[in-house]
Amino acid sequence: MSGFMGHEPDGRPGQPKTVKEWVFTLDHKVIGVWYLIGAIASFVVAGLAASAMRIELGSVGPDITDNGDIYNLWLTMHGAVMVLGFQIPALLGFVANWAVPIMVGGKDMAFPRVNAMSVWLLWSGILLALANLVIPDSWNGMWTGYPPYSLTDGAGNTALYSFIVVVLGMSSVFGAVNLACTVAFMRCKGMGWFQMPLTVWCVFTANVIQLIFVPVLAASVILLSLDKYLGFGFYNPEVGGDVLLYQNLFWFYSHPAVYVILLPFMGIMFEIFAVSARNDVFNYKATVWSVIAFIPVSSDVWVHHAYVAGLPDWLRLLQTFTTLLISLPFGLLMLSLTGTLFRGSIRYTGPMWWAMAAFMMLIIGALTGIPNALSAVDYGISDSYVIMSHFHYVMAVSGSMSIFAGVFFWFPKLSGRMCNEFLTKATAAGFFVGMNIVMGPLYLAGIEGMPRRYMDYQMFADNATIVDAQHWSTIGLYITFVSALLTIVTWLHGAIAGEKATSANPWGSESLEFTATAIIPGQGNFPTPVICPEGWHPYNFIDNPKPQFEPHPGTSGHH
Amino acid sequence: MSEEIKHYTAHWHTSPNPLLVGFGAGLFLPWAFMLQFVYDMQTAALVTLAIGAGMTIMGGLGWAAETIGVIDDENWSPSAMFMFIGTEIMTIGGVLAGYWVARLGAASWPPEGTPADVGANGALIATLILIVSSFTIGVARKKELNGDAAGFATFTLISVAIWAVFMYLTIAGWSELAAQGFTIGVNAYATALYGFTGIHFAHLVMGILVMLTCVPSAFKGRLSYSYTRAMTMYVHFVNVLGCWVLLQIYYW
Repeated sequence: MSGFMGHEPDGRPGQPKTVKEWVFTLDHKVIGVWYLIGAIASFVVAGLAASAMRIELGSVGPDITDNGDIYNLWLTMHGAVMVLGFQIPALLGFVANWAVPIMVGGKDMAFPRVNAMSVWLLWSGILLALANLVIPDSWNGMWTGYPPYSLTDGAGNTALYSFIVVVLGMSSVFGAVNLACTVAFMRCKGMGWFQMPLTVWCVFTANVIQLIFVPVLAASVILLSLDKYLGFGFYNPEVGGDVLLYQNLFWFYSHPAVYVILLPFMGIMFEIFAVSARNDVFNYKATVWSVIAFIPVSSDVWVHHAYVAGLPDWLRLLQTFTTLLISLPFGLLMLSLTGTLFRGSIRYTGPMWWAMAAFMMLIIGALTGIPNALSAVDYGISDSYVIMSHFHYVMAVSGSMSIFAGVFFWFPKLSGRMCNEFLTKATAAGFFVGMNIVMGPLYLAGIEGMPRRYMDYQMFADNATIVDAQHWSTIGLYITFVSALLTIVTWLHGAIAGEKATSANPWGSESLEFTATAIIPGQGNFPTPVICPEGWHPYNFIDNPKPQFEPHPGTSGHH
Repeated sequence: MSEEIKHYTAHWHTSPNPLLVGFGAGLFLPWAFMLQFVYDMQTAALVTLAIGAGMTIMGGLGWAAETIGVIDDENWSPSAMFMFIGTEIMTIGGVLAGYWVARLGAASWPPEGTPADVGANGALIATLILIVSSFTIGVARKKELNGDAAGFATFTLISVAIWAVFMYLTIAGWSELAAQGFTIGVNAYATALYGFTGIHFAHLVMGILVMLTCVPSAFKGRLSYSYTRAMTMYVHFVNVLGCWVLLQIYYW
């Protein structure tokens, strides 16, 4: 082992060197980097759209536009691109591709060509989404695409919306099949199911959810375009169709999509918390079962998105119960995260700052979610800023911060270099403070009755709470914007001029991507197939046996 | 540098074909549809369609040339196909939910404007013919397991021919209904009929491509058991889907 580790003093032998090797790659790590680049590009676009909206909302009356269509375009681009172009590809693209195969000791994904196709489908989807900024008749029907509006000319190019969802959905489904086979069949010798890192479990489970629910979303938007362009009538009541059918089909996927994002980003937290606290994951097996429990429980919560759509009382009551039920596995995961830190020897590294900040945002979002589940409460706050703030805390902001934590955590393995520690921590603090100023006051505005998606609030001009909340929220945006910009600068600086990593395992992890590979893992990840010896566990920081390697043909091998 | 590291970093596996398929099918084909149906730019649509289809076909053929007939002992394709079929079932289930909502919520069924004869008998005969392909593809698989590559190719091509007959009968049925004025937007039943038979038709096109990719390598005597097993699973699934469509649309 020691003869192999750290033998990369010059350059980055673990990375492709030619354009052909980058563009036509079949390697899961390079594909993972392509996912990351696409995700970050999407984050920038969606972030700019959010910034434009927030500046517009900074004061009563028009600030930078009085055109409602333009505002709707920003709103649409922000939601659709942030979820479909940034968070899901970053978690189920980058983390699933770059990290998971190495973490399970595999040489690649099960189907490398399908994997490469998946990433180019994702890029196709991103390019389609970006086209919405420049085409005539652009789509402005939000990321939800509800009919009957989406079937009208006023909604713009409904086909574009359908294709974005279908193409990204195809990318997700092929990726999910690939990842499930990789985890099921390509684990190295000696690694049982209950020896997999929690990141792997979380990504695997999220992909199972994708496999079950994405096709329904794809079907729902295909029917939308069939109705609008080819004269079908699935959502047209005039010929016997039903508009509410779309709402149900859409949320049948799109609520579980929350867990598709939530699970992998909590997986990243587990990894960083355990490594930073030098502690075994608290109650590992119960945590795994909690993760798995998300599959059945998430399948029966979508109806709470239709509380105000005319449901019978008995169904609202039932859905209140099933929605609250999801708190059980989620609560266990939170308990496990907390327990992992308990009495740990915590090192507050840069990635840990980001992970801790994400964890605190998650706590706020989770606690404010419980009342929303109660249909009686939801009746009063549906479609208000309360809901918007809740899902930004619980999914959007905590998820994004956890993704950034993951990028910082695996950065040395990606680039062979370290990011500036001060900048890493400063950006984490800035993002955390900024986003709390953005979203915290908006809870109060929502309680006062401020509805979401409005481009102005002239009708609340006399309500000091709402006006002040909007004002402070915009100030928070500037802090967040600078922090996000600095985060990207920190990565670029790290990749180009960062201090060279001197160890393949700078954080002291026990997971295989750190303990069994070079500083930058090369093609095939491991020089020869890796073996987990008896008693090995990714969270045993006390007496974990070292991973071993099968002998290379013609040599004595490395042990 | 030790031998292990040389081996480890020697070269990176590459192929242009996934990129061609990804951008061809994911970017150019959607634009062809939008140029035609949203922007009414027929020439541009045609050019974009040619580029997209060309990239997809070139990439697909290149992909097939690289992988078909590569005999491996890693038998993962059937598992992947099993999962893929699961996603197909969910997709169709989503559409089916729409049909059930319309069907069970209707005051009377079939709705006004539906012809007395929608071609149920013709659909039954066509489906019976379709089912025969499950037997012929089963024989093909048996030939493969016995190492008879030519026999495998022959029975695979017979299965393709059976599907082609079914597709011809489907198109004939559509034409007959359209001639009576029963087009897709007439009522909810027309939407369901054309929608479901159309979905099934698309699967047949895909299935024929999947079957045909097995044939060249079979004639060369190189068969990937994993791939052909996955292929036969898909054929059976599409046949079951055909039966389901028949029962839901024509005999319910």
